Amino acid sequence: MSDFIKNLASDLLRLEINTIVKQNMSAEKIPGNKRVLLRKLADIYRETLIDYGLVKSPNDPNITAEDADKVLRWQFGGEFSFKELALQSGRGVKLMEELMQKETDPAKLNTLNSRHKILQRISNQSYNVIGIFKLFRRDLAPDTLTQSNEHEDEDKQIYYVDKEHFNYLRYQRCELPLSCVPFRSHQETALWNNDLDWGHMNSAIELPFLPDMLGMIYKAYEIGTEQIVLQTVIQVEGDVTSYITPQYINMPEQIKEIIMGVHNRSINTSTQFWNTLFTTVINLAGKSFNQIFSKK
Amino acid sequence: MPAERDLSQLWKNTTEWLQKPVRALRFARNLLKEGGHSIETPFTYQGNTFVLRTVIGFGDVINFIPNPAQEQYDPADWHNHYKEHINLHFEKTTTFLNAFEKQTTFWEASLKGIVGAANIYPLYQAILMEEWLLLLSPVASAVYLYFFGKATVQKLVYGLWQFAKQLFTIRKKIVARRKK
Repeated sequence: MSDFIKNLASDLLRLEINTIVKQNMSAEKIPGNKRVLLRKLADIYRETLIDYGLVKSPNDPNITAEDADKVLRWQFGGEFSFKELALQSGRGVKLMEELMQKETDPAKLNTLNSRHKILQRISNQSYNVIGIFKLFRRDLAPDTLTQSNEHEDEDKQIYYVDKEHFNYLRYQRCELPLSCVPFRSHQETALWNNDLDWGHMNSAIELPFLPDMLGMIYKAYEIGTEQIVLQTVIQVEGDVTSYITPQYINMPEQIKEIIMGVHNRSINTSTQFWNTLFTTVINLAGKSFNQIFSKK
Repeated sequence: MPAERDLSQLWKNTTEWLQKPVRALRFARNLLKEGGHSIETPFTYQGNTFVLRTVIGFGDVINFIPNPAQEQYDPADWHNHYKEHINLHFEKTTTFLNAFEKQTTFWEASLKGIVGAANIYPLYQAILMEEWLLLLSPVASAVYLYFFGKATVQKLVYGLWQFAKQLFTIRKKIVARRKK
């Protein structure tokens, strides 16, 4: 409990105000089931990587044998899926950096730059999620931390692929290697992992998420792969930094006015709120808290 | 009638007081469960529903601004329509933050009351000595500080507690001697 309050206090050392323009945003609630939430987050990341042309869906009819290392074989929301996403987005980051060095057209350079940032976000968030699963492994299945994953072994991989998809490829697309076949739902690791299909996910036991883990996942889900158009970071020591993206500069004047208005009002209200919260949490984390909870 | 008015005011104050921790707990639960408290203002524009959304977390605030496909709408018309909803949205946000500020003050004051009481006379000792009334003192102190928590009054309360501390210490020694 004392660690939790202290973490809160350190979170409050900086206030970050982000304004995001979400295309056609409709009223959709965040999924209550955390497993579903992780799956949806992974789906958002997968769709973005496919849109950028960096990877291919295993259901893409145009896959050839040459695409073997580009196929997203994990279609779920667990450690293996996020590991694949981290790997592919990392490759994407390097590719964007190479392209940016060669590009001279400012408009194209902007597009590459924004894609580079989104891919970096996918990579960072995927590693954060992998970290959460590693903690679950440590607590719930410590033996698995030192063992290698059987599905990574080429000889044993056949037991872990989606049989239906495998049969389809074997009869219809004989030329495709096994590395183009997606993996099946991984029920073996359901205790600490979430590489499960929808059916198994709903019946699996709840994962023991801590508040700061949930905060990270919810924030990743909320922001998804949308671009932050305005960002203001206020540090407790008094530094204020504002970031304005080229996307914002290129918007119509009226839309710019709306966005800047929302952002400014948000800064005003949240700094007031921050002040109160900061004082309260510092008091809690300080003398008062120790007297109540740490007294022996 | 003054007495009736006083009674109804007391009832109003009591119910408000009882609701505050519940609201604060709900906010805390949302922060823990969903990583942030979400304030949403849905509105319709040309038959479509859009949502203006602000997610308030510890140390970060995220505003989500819906942006309909630019080619579908006239930006000036969208802007005029949007302005009203932005005002409404920020009224809601400010109301929420003001309410939260009051709640945090309440919790802080309660905590000070509890700490004060804990310093004067450890609660477990109160239980051991069956001083049940004393168990209520932190709550009473918290309520008192919350409603009348000005610096001078706080000093007065603190002074009274210090005095009470001495009395209870003496009483404790007497009880211990009697047991011997």
